Amino acid sequence: MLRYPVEALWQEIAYLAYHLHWPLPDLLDLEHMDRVRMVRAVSAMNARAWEAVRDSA
Amino acid sequence: MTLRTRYEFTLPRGYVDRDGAVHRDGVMRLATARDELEPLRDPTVTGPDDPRLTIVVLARVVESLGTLTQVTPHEIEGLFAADLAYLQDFYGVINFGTAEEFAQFVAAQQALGAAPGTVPEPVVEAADETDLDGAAVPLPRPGRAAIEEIRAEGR
Repeated sequence: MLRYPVEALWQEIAYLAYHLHWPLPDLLDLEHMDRVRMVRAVSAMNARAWEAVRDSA
Repeated sequence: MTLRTRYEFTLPRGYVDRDGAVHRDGVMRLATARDELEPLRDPTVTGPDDPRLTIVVLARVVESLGTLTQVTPHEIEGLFAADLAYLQDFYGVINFGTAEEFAQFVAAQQALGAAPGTVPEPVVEAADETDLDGAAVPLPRPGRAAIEEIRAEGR
């Protein structure tokens, strides 16, 4: 059966925990696609933040 | 939050309970990380490749089946092989498939269901372990891109 790769699950949860400071139970209970959307959204925000840092340097 | 989190399904054959009643219509909810990680700590599951992992995961996400008040690994294990394969495919499509793939899956099932009585008799009643992974649908895994994004950002 198609399942989400376990290592990827933990990576994504750690990534969101690091950036959002949400408690682990909340992150575990995100549905797969919601979690993926959150990772992409946070990643995009980070990319924009780094761009701003580079532009101001 | 995802707008749609629960999906109705109809098993090709149906679960036959101890009284002989058949349960075909059910509801499966979308899976979470918890649904896939906690079963790995289940003492009856030996590891990520244990076919029983699939059983435990499905028992968590199948919320209802016919008039059964509770769906446990016992009921999932008691399914016909065709029904178990169907639920595995359904899990893949609703969790990891596109809307188009879901529509195709439903249409294919309806086409099969349009000719009642023509479904072949099941070869085996219980879950056939060799059948578990063979039934997986090769769908794209949307998580990959997200994982790569994390790696790229760290540089």
